[in-house]
Amino acid sequence: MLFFSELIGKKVRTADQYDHGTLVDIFFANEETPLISKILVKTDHRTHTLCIRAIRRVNGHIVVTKSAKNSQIAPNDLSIAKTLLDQQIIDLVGNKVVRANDVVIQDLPILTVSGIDIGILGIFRRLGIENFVNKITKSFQFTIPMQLLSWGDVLNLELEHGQIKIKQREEKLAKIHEEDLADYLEMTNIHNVHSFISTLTPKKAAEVVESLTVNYQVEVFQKFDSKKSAELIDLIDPDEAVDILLAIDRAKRDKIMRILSKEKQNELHHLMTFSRTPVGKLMTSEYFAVGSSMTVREILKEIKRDTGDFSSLGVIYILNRDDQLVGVSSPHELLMQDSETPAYKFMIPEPIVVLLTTPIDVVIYKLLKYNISALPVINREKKILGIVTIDDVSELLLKKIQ
Amino acid sequence: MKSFYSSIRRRFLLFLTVFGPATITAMADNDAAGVATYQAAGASIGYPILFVLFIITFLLGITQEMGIRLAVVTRKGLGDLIREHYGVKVSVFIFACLFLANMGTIIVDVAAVKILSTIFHIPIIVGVVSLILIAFIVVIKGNYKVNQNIMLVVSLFYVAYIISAFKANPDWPAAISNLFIPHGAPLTPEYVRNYIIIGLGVLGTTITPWGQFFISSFAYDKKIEIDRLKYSQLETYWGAFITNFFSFFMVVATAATLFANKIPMISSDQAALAIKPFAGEIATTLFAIGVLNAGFMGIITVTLSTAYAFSEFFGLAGSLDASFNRGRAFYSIFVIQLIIAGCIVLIPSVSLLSLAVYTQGFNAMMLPFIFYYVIKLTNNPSVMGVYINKPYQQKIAIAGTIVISIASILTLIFSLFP
Repeated sequence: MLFFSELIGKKVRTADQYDHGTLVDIFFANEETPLISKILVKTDHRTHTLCIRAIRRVNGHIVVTKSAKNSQIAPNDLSIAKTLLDQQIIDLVGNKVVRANDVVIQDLPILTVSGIDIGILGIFRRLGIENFVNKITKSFQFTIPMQLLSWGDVLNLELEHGQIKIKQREEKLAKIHEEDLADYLEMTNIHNVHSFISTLTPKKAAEVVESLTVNYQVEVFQKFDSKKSAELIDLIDPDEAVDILLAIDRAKRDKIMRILSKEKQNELHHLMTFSRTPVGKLMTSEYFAVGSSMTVREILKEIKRDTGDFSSLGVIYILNRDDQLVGVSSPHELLMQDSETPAYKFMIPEPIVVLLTTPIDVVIYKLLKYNISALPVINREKKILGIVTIDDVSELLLKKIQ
Repeated sequence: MKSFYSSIRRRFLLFLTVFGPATITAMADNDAAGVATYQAAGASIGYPILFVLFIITFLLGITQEMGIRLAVVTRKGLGDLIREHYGVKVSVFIFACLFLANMGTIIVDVAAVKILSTIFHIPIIVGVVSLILIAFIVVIKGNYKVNQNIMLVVSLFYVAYIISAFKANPDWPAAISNLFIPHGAPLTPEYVRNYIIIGLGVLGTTITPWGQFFISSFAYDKKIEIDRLKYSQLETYWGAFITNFFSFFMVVATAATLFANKIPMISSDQAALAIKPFAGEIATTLFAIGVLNAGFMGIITVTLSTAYAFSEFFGLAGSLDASFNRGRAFYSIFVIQLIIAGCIVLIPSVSLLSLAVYTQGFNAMMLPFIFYYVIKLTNNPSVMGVYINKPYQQKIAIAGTIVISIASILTLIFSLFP
């Protein structure tokens, strides 16, 4: 998670230190998913626009590829500095709500505008005194909560008319916590998913459903009738399909299965029954989880204290205030950060997870596909029950090869 | 002929639909601090200070016109525009300065109730509490229209000063001729020095940072349509004229009595008592009512201007037409200022006179910054469209800003090296 105000003024360079100038503005595509499309870079003599695809890395400075080319601003590209930052946010009936104090940018897995900071911390950050204020409040045993507005709550069509309008009335507006932003964004989008998916081609619709986390997938399928569901299941990756089918209730599952083609039925059936080794048997409880507001320094201290008897520590799980899994990180990532950075700022949100009902074949498939060392097993409340590591399944894998 | 009259009548009615913001802002420039300054000016400089008043009238008209044009054209207040075009750092800085400067002005205005205890023998705490309560109820309970009308009615009380001035039997030809050319006073170095200092004070109390914010916010809150802009512009000049018309009589009243008899004055309540031997009992009572009235006007407008500016800078609901629940931040800022002012006035050891002087200096020093943004914004075609400053307006506005800047620097120097 990044803030627009922290990116402004950063140097833009190539890996071999060619200086493009400093970042002055960021453009995003005004669509349902506001992908960042271009950056505006300024040198002493000129300003020019670089395409976002050129960006390799964002940390101390912004690293772009050697082949970074100037690009034109498209008609639906909107400037963050001009259309969002400092502008008035109004609610559905036109009442003033607050101003956009800062803009939240999600950098993982892909750079997107994910929300607007509407709290006082945003103002402190812009003034450059956020850390100072936090230090003072911490010494008085309280913290100023961050108040974010999810992009899912913004009517993106109104932006073209120069207005930041939200979908609710002011009273109903949910101010969310930083660590739940990615999740909430998805949830607010879900409300429209039903009507949204109907407008898409089946193939595109399947892609959208696949990108959702399992809880939302289940929700979406509960809403669709069996025919529509079967159509989607047919197009979704079999491993995802199995996860979804096992998570929804049995009656609906059977109905969907009956509509599918014989071939597909067999494929899915095979996956679901053939490897019915319960995930629970392979799962270990040797995992390490921390709260999302803990700083790197605090996390390192906990690692030293709690993980002495671990066989290895590959993944750090990050939980929100309700102990729900909201992100993951790695020890390497942890070491790259400043010691006062809180976990939610560098975690990868919306981690890949499996359920207790997920067949082992699917678990293995996911471990290999995403090239990760362990998968968290969660329940319907998104709480971690345990993890399945690549070591745990290696024996099974070996057997399969032989 | 008949159609000529009906056209005049129609235009006058249109004028009445936009009437209010500019007149109220201008009249509120004659708040308790303003009244005290004019009286002091009359008492220590005499008629020649009226020349400064004459020039200030034009400056006030021009600056107020820019403020109201900004609000009517953009449908935003000055705070909105500064935040959107110059970012959060400038906004926080200006708001902090405005809050401090306004706090000083409000304290001086609340202190006007001291005149009650001196002249009508009412305990000061009773006066302070009831004044604050009345202001509170008017703003919280009343909508825009109620507030506007109350303040317009309150403005009528300034007539008290006209009567006091006549009671003082002034030298009218001298007073009027001094408007155009200052004359008739001994040109000693000390007198010239005082003339400059007092002149700056008069400027600083008439053209104020809060006035610039208030006129745009109040015009925005009135929701004036752009096709009536010219009537609003007309009103700004009318407002500048009428407010200084009353100021003229305040100066004349003390010039004819205190200056003529070489009696120095320190504060408004003393002025009210001091003119008694020369102008009689009625003039004194009218003077006291006038000061109290000016304090009330100042309390409401200046506190409202801070509250408006806050909600504009930070984008919160801020309107006299909003319910208490929706405009919570707006009304809270209003109430907090009143409570702070009330408490400070009741502390006996606080010197209100030096506070008034510092506030005036601070206000004067803020003005060049505010005008920098007002002129920049009113001259930006992407903000104002075809309504940008005309070349002559631009020149006068910049010249005015330079005059005010020099004045505020001089104020600073004079107050640092008395």
